Amino acid sequence: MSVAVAAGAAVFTVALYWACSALQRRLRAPLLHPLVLSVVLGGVLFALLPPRWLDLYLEGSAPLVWLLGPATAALALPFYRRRAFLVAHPRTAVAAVLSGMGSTVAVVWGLGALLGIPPQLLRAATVKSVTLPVALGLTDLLRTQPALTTVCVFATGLVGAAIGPTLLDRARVHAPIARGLALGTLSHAVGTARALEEDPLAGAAGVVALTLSALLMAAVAITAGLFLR
Amino acid sequence: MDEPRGGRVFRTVLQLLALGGLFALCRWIVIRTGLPVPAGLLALLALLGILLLRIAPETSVGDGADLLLRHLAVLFVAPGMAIVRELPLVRGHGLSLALVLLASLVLGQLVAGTVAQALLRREQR
Repeated sequence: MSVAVAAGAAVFTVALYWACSALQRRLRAPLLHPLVLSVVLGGVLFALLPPRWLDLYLEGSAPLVWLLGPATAALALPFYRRRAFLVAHPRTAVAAVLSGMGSTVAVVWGLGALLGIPPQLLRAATVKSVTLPVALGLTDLLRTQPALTTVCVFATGLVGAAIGPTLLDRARVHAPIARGLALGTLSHAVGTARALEEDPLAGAAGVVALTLSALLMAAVAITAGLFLR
Repeated sequence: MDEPRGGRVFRTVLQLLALGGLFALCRWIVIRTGLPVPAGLLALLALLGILLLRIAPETSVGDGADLLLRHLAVLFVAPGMAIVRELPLVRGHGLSLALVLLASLVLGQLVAGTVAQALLRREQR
């Protein structure tokens, strides 16, 4: 890959994202996250161009995508800063993550099989609640595509952050810690940001939940991968 | 905090390089040993271990990590755009997939929230 292609892809990505951020600030619709706008606008553009343009763009994006590795490592920081929360509520945090993850994956596979969804799509949907850098790291193990994973994970984050608070109100889950754990477990960083808007303690719970659920899902995927080989 | 701006930028760049170096090292280990663990995840666990064992303080990578996480979404644009290639697979299943995602999200959130709240009440008793 030439340096020019990589530079071109990086400039295009950053410019597109920046323009979409500006657009979102005007539209003020939370579901129209700059990432959603970028993927839709860029997707339409590449669908209109000859396929080799998308190939070239994806090839040139490799250095940007490589940064997901250090970014995954960086997730250790927010968790480390809020480790006091885990020390204070270890059982509650672990139980919320285990029950939330367990039930959501059960619905994915149960309902998915009932509706006849291909396994490859279901495997991407399985990690929909895992923070995206970790979920993308698991795509090879789960034999699914990064693009499918990105769409499933990001949709879950946005929708969960949008409807989660109302849903929890209806279920009379009012304790900030419980709300933060639910939002972080199911809707990873987007849900955690929403929890943080409600209450600092909910935000801390969200960070711990999103990290624990990512580690739990990774452990399950790695174990499953060993058996599937 | 009256540190000159240049010093802070330099420190952040060094911290980004350190995070990149840690990931590169983990990637090398994964490739060499055939460990079935994503390199990024290994780097996350390694960094957590380094911080918890106080081998390096939080301030040695904090600014760089915050910067990366603040701009994380930009890194997902390219992987997301590749969905154009997967459209044939999604076609015909889009609505079912959306239903599965929504139903599993709603149930999971209710279960996690209810379980957590019940356990919190018990903690307080």
